[in-house]
Amino acid sequence: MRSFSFLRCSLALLLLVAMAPDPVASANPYHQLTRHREAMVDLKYVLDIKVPGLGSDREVEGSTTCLLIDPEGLVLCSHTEIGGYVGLLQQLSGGSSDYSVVPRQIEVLIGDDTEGVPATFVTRDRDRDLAWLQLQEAPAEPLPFFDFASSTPLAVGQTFYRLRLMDRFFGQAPIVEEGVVGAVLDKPRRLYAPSTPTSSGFGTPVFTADGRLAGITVLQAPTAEELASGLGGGAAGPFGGSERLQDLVSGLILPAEDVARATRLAREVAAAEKEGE
Amino acid sequence: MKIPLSPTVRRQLLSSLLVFLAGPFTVPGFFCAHAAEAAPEAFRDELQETIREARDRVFPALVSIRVLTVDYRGGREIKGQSVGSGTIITAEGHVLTNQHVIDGGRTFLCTLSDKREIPATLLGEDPLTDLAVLQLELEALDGETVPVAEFGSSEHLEIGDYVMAMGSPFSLSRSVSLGIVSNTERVFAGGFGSQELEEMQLERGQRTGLFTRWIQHDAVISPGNSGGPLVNLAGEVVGVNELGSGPLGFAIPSDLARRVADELIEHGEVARAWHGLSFRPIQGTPFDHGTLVSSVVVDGPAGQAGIEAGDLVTAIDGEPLTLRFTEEIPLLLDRLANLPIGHNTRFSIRRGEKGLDLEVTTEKLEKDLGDAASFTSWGFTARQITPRMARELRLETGRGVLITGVRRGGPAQLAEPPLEPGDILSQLEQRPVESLASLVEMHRELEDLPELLVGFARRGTDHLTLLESREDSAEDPPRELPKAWLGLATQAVLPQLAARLDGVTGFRISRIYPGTLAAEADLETGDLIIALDDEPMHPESLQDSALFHRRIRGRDIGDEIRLTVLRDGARHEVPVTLERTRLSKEEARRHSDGDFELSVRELTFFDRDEQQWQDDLRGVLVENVDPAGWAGLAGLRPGDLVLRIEDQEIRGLKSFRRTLDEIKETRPEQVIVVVRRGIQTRFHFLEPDWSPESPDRAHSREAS
Repeated sequence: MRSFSFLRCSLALLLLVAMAPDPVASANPYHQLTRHREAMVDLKYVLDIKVPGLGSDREVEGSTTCLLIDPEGLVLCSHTEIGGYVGLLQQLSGGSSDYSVVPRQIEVLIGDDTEGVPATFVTRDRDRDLAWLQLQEAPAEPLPFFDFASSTPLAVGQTFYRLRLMDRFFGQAPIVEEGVVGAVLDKPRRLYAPSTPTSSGFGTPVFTADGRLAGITVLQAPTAEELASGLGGGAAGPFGGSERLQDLVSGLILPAEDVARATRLAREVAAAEKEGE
Repeated sequence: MKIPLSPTVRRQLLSSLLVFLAGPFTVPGFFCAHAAEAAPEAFRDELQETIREARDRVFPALVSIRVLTVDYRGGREIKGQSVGSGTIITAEGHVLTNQHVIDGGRTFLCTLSDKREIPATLLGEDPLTDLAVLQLELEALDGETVPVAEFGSSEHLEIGDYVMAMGSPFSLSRSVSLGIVSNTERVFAGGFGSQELEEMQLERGQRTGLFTRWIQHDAVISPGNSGGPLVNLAGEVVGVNELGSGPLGFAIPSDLARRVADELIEHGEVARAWHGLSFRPIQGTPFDHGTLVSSVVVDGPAGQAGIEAGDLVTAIDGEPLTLRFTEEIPLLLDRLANLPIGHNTRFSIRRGEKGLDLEVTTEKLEKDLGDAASFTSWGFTARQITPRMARELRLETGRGVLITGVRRGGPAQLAEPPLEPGDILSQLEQRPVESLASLVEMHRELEDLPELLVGFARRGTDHLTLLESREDSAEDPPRELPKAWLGLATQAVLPQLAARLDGVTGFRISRIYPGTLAAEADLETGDLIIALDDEPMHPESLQDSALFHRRIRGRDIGDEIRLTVLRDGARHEVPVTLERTRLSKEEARRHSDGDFELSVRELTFFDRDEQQWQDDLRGVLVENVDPAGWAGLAGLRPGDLVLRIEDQEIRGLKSFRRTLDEIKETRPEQVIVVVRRGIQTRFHFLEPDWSPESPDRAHSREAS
């Protein structure tokens, strides 16, 4: 008994040592955040695009970075990145709403994996620009993941850090980008607008300086109905000038709390689908 | 002259044609003025009688040809339709037409002058002259004979002679137009002032017209006239209409056409000798006799014999030769092509001051383009490499096959490195690919491999890649996260509009969807929503037009909300329960059927609402139809709601799939499909073709 207690104490001590912040790393968000790289995955897919009037159907291959959000292999992506952009283009061009974009052959590459694990599209939320996918086979071991339930809000003027993976040409090195919250928006929903616009990195996680998850980068595009206004239009053109167009295609930060709320619903959908099987 | 059967285009063209035909009748007294003059009247009567007699000698032998075609592009097989004309030239039912009418044809249907439709098969084609012969399946006529048109000699035609063009312009069958011969030896030079013949190509890149001096005429011909006869007033076929634009019609002379047709009927092909050189006339040069060699294929027979570009040919096989004009070139090319294959042709040459006699051993003139096939499971289309293609692609050998297209998202495109059009496929699983036929054979054997090792050449360098077999099963479209919804359509009432109304901005209810919880609430069309659970709803610009629905979507399904509305100036508080979003069109599940060549999708709430169809109307909506497929040929269109197939009611995708599976088991000759199109209920007869392919084209089908 005594030896067992000793063992438990030793393990706890070891764990504490392991969890203790590295003085260099804790002071430097770059070191701290790149540790999350393991929970970032590469998604490969083929889109079947059918748009009336475009002639033959199109198939487009694509890939993007997504996030593992639970240890069982639930994956969160920006919907824009996996086909949502087609709808946006249709809206911008005033095209038919009777189009279809179907992702298939979805594979998730975890870590250094080059084979890919098949995944199923669970559901999406176009308002939030989110999509959830589930690995078709349960992982042998729990996977590292981002926990959106444990998060913190951002405020105007606050520095945030975005983690993304660079191109494969650069070995998909994790890169930390620093930004400042330029505005907190309430329309069309609660969003944080970076002071420097960026039109890339949709689906990437955003952290506070102390490494707490604050949100995810998304695209918030108007609906066709909202675009019908011409967005200011007039002499400045259909989008009311380049600045406004830039607003429409820039990444905004969806608060982690909102992501968590939507993910709870997505889990219900996934569970219902599983029961349906 | 081949046209796809686009109903829209056809209708447009038809309307313009009708205007033209109505022209003379809109001029008052047109006929009276002429009738007053006796001599012209007699002339006219005589001419009309002559025309009628001539017409009656050929018209019964005129056929309209409908062709279902297959093309291989972009890594996939693409079906299409073309229409053209033809003439029955033998009692055995041989129909002479243009090669471009039947090019890529898989099924041929001929409409006789008595309007009966009978199938035909392809007997032979000669793309170099753009001629082909079909064989009518005379069994369909139960022993009846077919009318036959007679050839006349095109040699006797003169400029100014009357000629009639017969055929099916814009697929309007059995039409005749009248004109005169404008030129009897029309050739097309390479450009302004050029003395060389322009190289003409058919749609897929095959050369044509090398041996042709066209009969130019002004009898109106249009797309669909291709392959139809040009007839003289003696009622003889003197040409085969091939090209046309406005008042310019061009027909292949009957003397050439008859010779080619005889060869095709007897041998199925026209065997020609090849020397590998081209000529230009001496006009504009210092020479007064002979003809100049304008180009030589480097490793062709003439090139190997030592003939060079710029040589002056003074005699061939001892016979002196002088070509002064471009019009004479086709005659020389024809003469050389008609020499025996393997013949030693002696060219007397002057090169500078030197005189040479060079002997050229002719080879068989092969067709320019090889057969093509689609390899769907691997995601590419490929073509046999002919000697000409090998030369143009600068390949050392003709081995391998040319990749002509790669399907986006298919295994060939997703391979690392991907295959590209223009690659030469040389190996599969480390075994050589010699030809298209061998590739088809290997495809049968290797199709199920999960990974295929492919060797290919690109711009002279050898590469290897892996094609991964991928499950090509259709996926359902992604579904939206269930959200709260209210069955209302609203219009944002902005300040300017509000100023003309009650002075209050808000969201005006423009429609209440029947059968929804909103319809059960105390709401009316015209109500102005000004608050949602006391949160003001005041749009400021059109960008806010979806604000109300966004707010609704932000709530939970089943939430009880309170809308504050203005109705006739009075405020009302209306409680409403939010329900779950309805399925959008984009989210509707789809099903594609490769045999019937159509895709359908679930009927959604919004489809019903748009079409104002009753709630109990069930079916599947046609989304896409291949115009040359079984469903397309039967007249089904996108937007049709399939209600019934045979005696099976279609209630959704499940019953649709099940019914088609049953039909594929029983293979009926005809399938009745009942659809709803707008306010009409219609029925369509589908005539599935369950028969296997003809042997000569089977490889393409099997590979695809």
